[in-house]
Amino acid sequence: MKKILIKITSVLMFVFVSFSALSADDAWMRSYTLEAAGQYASAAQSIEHYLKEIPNNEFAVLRSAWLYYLAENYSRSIKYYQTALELNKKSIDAMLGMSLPLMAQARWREAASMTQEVIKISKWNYLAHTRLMTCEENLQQWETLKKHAETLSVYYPSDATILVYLARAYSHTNNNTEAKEVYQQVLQRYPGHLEASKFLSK
Amino acid sequence: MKYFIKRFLFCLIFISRLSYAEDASDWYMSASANVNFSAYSKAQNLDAQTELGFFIDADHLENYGLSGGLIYQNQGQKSFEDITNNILFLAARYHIYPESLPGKLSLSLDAYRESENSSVKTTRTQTPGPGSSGRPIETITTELINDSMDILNPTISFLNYTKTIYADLGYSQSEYGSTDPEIGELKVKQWTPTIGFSFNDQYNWLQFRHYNIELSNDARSPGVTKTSASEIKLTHWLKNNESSSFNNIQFIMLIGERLFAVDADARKVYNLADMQTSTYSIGGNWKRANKSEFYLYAGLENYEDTFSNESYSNIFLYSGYKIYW
Repeated sequence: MKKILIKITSVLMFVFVSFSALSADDAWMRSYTLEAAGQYASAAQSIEHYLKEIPNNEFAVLRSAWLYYLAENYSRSIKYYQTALELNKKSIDAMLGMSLPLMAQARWREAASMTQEVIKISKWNYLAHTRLMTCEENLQQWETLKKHAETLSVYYPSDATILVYLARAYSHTNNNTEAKEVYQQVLQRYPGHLEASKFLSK
Repeated sequence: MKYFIKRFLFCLIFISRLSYAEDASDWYMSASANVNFSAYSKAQNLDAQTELGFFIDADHLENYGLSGGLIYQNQGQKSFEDITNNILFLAARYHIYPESLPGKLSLSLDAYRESENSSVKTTRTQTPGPGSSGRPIETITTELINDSMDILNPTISFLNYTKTIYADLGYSQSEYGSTDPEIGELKVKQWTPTIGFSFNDQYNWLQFRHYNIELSNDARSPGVTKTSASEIKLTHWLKNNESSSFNNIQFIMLIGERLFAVDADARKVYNLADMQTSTYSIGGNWKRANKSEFYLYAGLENYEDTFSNESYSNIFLYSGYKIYW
């Protein structure tokens, strides 16, 4: 009798665990499918019950934050990214992720501060630097942007985006000759680049 | 005067110390100084006016901020000595980003205080005319008195994330205390609903503000306990690619009646007991991106003396310089 009870319990346990795993897999699958279909809020909601069960699941928190950012619910996205940072203070994913909804809310100073945190950990992180340049541009810190882009272009010499920021900074600091030279370099890397072509045709 | 300078310096030191705090890079500071010269035309008692303002602002990222300042007013008088006031200004603001709104909500509280406010007491007396059928003779006398002024100006505002729509609701309660029993205490309640929006690819900004002002008594302005006025501001930003450039030009027009008003944008208190009937001004600012800005405005204000009902005007020149760090 005892053996039968143990066997029944084992079978029930196996069924329960398998069902749970299947249910979780389904939730992730549904979330990716809905994201691909552009239904970002539904995609986030599909993993919400999973988060309720395991609120400290870092990946689920990060994914929710990302999906709410895509759904343009920026404040909720920021809350999830903050939770992710509480779970893992060194998470570059969370810091870089959080800079996106902050920039969408035009909170350029906070976004800049967040990207600078990443740069403290990962000195030449490309995404952190390019997002910081976006913040500097929106805060009209042209001198800072000029120095920043000049330095970065040494580390990423083939990158057109950094050169575009550099050209804009030159242009706003009355260095039109330098701006033209840099926009010409942009056209070598990105033929037909609209902004560069427009500036050079002046 | 010394008392106010001490308090102002205390605020200045407190706020400027924020830039030395542990998270110093998260504090964005600015300081400004401005001057306003006014010349009156057809005013019975008023002579030239000078107003100086010194302000320091500290903002922690886009989350909250503090401001402190001192406003010095010198109102020239034809009949007696100049009236001098020193107004202490303190302000705090806090920004919220609710999930349910596509923009930020800002809560702010501005406070103005002058414990030794000087103002003019005007008295209208009637004496019987000569003979039994003579018309009474009206005499208007003025004298200088001391009173106090306390203003609290809370505002809730909304600005969408793309900065194309703005709305706010401001409330201001001004209390003018007086030891003179003939005048007594005056409470002024002011409501200012405002809307603003951008157009022409965000190169233009149009803002409407309505002033609804209620006075608790008419001892300082006979027959007036309620006024309303509307203000229109049009700002045009110039298409300029240079960091140091003429940045914008602004037209301001106010029509209606305004008495004891508080202008939260200009940080200006209209503490003269005369009715402002219209204002027209034009100005602009020159900006060095993220470093400093210089602004200059000129305008005309029309007033009506609430005792004599006579109109007079005031031509003003307002200029200021602001630095950021």
